[in-house]
Amino acid sequence: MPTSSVLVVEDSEIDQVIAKYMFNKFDENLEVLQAFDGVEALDILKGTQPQPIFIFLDINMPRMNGHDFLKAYESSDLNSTSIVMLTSSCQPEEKDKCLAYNSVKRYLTKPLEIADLEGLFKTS
Amino acid sequence: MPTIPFNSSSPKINSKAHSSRLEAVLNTVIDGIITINNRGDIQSFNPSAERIFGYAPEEVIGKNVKMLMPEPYHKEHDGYLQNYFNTGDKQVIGKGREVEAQRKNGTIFSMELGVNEMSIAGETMFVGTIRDISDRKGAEQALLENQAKLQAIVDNTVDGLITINEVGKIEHYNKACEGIFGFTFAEVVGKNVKMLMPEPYYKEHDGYLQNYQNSGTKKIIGIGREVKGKRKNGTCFPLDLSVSEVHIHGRKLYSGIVRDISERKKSEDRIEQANAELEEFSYRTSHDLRSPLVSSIRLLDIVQEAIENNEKDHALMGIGRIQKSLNQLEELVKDILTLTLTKNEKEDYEAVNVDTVINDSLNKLKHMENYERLSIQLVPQFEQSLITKKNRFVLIVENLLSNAIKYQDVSNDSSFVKVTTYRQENKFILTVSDNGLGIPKSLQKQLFQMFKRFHPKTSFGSGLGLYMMKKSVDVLGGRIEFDDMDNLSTFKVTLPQSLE
Repeated sequence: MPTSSVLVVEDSEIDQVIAKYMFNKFDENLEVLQAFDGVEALDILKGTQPQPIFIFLDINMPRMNGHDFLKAYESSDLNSTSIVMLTSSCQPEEKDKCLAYNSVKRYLTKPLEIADLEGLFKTS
Repeated sequence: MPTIPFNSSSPKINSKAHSSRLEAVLNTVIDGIITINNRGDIQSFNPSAERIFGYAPEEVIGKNVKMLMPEPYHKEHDGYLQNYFNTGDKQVIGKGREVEAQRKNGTIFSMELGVNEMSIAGETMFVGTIRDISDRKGAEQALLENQAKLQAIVDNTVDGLITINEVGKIEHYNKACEGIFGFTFAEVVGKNVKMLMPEPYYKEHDGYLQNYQNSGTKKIIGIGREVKGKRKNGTCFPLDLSVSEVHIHGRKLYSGIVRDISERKKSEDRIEQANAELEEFSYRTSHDLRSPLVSSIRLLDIVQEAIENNEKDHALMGIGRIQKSLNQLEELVKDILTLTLTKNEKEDYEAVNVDTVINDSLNKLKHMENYERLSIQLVPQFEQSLITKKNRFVLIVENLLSNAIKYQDVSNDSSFVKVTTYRQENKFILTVSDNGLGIPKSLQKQLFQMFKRFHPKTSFGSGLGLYMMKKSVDVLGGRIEFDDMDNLSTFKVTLPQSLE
């Protein structure tokens, strides 16, 4: 049986550690892939089969930020995984902007809670 | 009431019946009727004359009529009669006119007087018909006073009052309007009121009027709303306008009250901005305070698990991360406190040595990471003292310098910061340039907003530094600008060099 995975695109090491910890707690069989910016995320996605069930995406990142990643991702042939924004920005304009992307299904603000994951996996 | 028959001195009346009829008329007529002979002696005095003057007939019959007149008529009346007999020049005879008369009690009143000449048995007599018009005069006077009062109110009210006719031509325009619009009354009277409006009202106003008159559709009449006005100098401003329709002698007029609300709008905008900032502030502080705390709690779980599993290195790593999170928290709290202080602080102006402030600040920042790898170039050309609020000024200098240190490009072997001070047209100028990470063009317009971080991963900042600096520059009546020419990030602060 292929392992299911999630990809966390997040440049803060602390946030990566915590996200991984939360996913492990939620489901220890879930593989957590880590990318520290959009460029790394695209690379990982190209080399991963099957594709992760969710991509958790931060907005503010060096090299390639969340918006640029979304544009690149949606215009690539990878475009199949639901994306969940995971960011500290709680501005409504930012939220609207993100939810306007077809691939973006949810907009979560940090910190990530177990309840968020439960809701997410239940409805998916 | 005893009356002297009108015909008492008219022996030539031939019909007794006629005479008594005439007497009845004279006794009941509302107007006072007095006859005098050619010397001015009163011959008859009817009941109404009694009522008007307060004299009984026997008090006046045979006396000169000038007793009923105040000065100057009293003195001049004999002359009038004389003049008439000499020249035939009729001053009052045959015409009605308004004159003043004097009652028995000395009070003077206005009356309408008609005088006719008649000849009885060859003797010239004059009949005076008198109507007391003091009530009417009083009403007229009251009306005039009222009008003057209203005019004074209209002239002195702070609101502008404009009246236009059916086709929009200005008929009235009070003094307040002159202040509000800059046009004098003479410049606007008779002109179309749209001259006081910017587009699109200018173009549309004739249409509004036309439309209202045709269809009764009220755009503004009776409603009142905020519109834009245009001053003589071309500037536009917000104004409150209420319009009512008035009908005067069958003419339809529109009367508008205008109030310049520029100041109110400005205050509203300031309050709105302050509110938005406050909202952002409370949201961000709660969010930013909470997030390192939540991280730390999560990290503690991780550390605990690591200890339980005897993974010492793992535990130590977790502790290091907790320290980092808590340091961020501490920095944020510190900045929030400074911000609160800066907002409230009332400070006096004093003479400040700019070079000393810069050197003290650098001294204080020496402990910062990578301070030593930064080349610091000072170009002090402002040689006098700066009259300013010292704490504010220090906050500006420290923030600019610490940003340059914090956001240096560690991959560049020749990182530098250049600080220059100089004087330009009575202004003090401070520039701080560095070849560090800079600020992305797309984010530069948010530069001085609260909680904006431009390099969140490089170094933790509260996002309040530039905001506090901007507020301080504002308080000092100065300006701060950012420029990023030739890979150099330059902040330029311009301050008045003394209290102006």
